[in-house]
Amino acid sequence: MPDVNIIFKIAGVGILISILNMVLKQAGKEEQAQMLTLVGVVVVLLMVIQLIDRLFQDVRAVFGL
Amino acid sequence: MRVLGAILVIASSTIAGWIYSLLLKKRLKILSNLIQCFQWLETEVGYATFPLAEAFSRIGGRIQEETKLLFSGFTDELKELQGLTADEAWQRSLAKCQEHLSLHHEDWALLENFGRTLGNTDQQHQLGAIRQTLEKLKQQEMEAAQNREKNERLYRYLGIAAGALLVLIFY
Repeated sequence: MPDVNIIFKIAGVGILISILNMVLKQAGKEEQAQMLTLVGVVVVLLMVIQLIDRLFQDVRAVFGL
Repeated sequence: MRVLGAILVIASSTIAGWIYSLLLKKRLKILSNLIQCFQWLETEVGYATFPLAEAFSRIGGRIQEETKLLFSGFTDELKELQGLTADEAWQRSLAKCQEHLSLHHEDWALLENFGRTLGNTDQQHQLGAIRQTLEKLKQQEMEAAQNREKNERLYRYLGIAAGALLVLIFY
């Protein structure tokens, strides 16, 4: 079940990033917190991009393009 | 095998975070030790009027392990009879301690500056220099305390979370 695994992975990254974000904000490092959020978004996007790629290929295959 | 690697990564990053937070604590402790030493030095020089070498060795005998190195190192350098001035002996002792004490750059600069006044003025000026250094050390201690309060927990969380994040991404 690779699809469920990747969902859990993304959820885990999200949780960790949000915890770190809170801790950093508490310590008064707002800029770093923002950078970290950005990094989290990029990492998750890199994971999701594989799935989107697969979706596109499936759609192509369905319509025989 | 995979799980073992994951555990290793998380454990090592957690430990790294702990070590960083411990360093903050240690700096604070060393600074307060130093403050105590300089207060003693003030009495030794001002009231008891001991010569520098003796005053330093008396203080070195009273203080705990890490800060002791600095003061007993100074007397050792002086006793070696290489014709060092007090300033040179102090700088050498500082250089030797540099890897044992977890102090910041500003703290070292402060101590180095103190050495410049060491042993080439009369008692009054020496006392003035000691008091000035004491004042600055107190400022550094306050700043270190604030720094610790702010960052101690941050480093710990950061260590754990960074390890967990690495494992999650590469698992």
